[in-house]
Amino acid sequence: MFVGHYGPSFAVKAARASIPLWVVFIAVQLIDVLWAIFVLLGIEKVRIVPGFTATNPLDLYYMPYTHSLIGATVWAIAAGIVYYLFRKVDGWSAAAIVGAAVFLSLGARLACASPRFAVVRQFPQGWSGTLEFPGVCLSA
Amino acid sequence: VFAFLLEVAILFGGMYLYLKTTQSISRTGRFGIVIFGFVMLMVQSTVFFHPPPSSDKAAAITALVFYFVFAGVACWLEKQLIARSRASSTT
Repeated sequence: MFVGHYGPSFAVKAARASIPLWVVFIAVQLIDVLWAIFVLLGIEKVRIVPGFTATNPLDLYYMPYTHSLIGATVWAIAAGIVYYLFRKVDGWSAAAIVGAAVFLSLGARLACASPRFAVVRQFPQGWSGTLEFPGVCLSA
Repeated sequence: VFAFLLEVAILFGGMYLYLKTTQSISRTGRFGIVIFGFVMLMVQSTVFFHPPPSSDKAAAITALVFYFVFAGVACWLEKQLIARSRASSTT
């Protein structure tokens, strides 16, 4: 899932013209932007496995801080607050839309994730094993 | 292939909604958005059908570059369009 995220960006922009298009472009990919930064810093882990899924060679085996329900919730709230601080004129409703764009993009990722992908399982010990949401791989 | 077609439908569906609510103020406005859509699809095709990245770091850097380049292009293209409601109120 990559460019499909940008469709909702355009739709959000159409519905709420005051939100800059580049902001929703970043919002729908914020979780992946943070993921890339965390991978570069060695905080989250990925390995290249050719043929891992039909469309993606990335085995995303450890990414608890970005691609998890609680992680995505935290980033979505943070994004909404940051947006509000910089564009108070748009109000909280616009900030909520930006936050929702961040959070809902996680759901879109689930739609084409590997069946091994589990959102909550990836939390550090203590959270793991209580809830699992296996993804449905569209391309499988 | 199904996943790819679904992404195409979502991308251009959203783009259609956006273009319906805007009016181009320059030649690059309307066509620029559509061309941008096809460029993004070409990038997506590369991800789908080309050899995998050489390392995890390479994958992360490639993703970061594209995210920010796409956001920058979107920022520029947005300036070529104006909301129809604003356009009609100024005429």
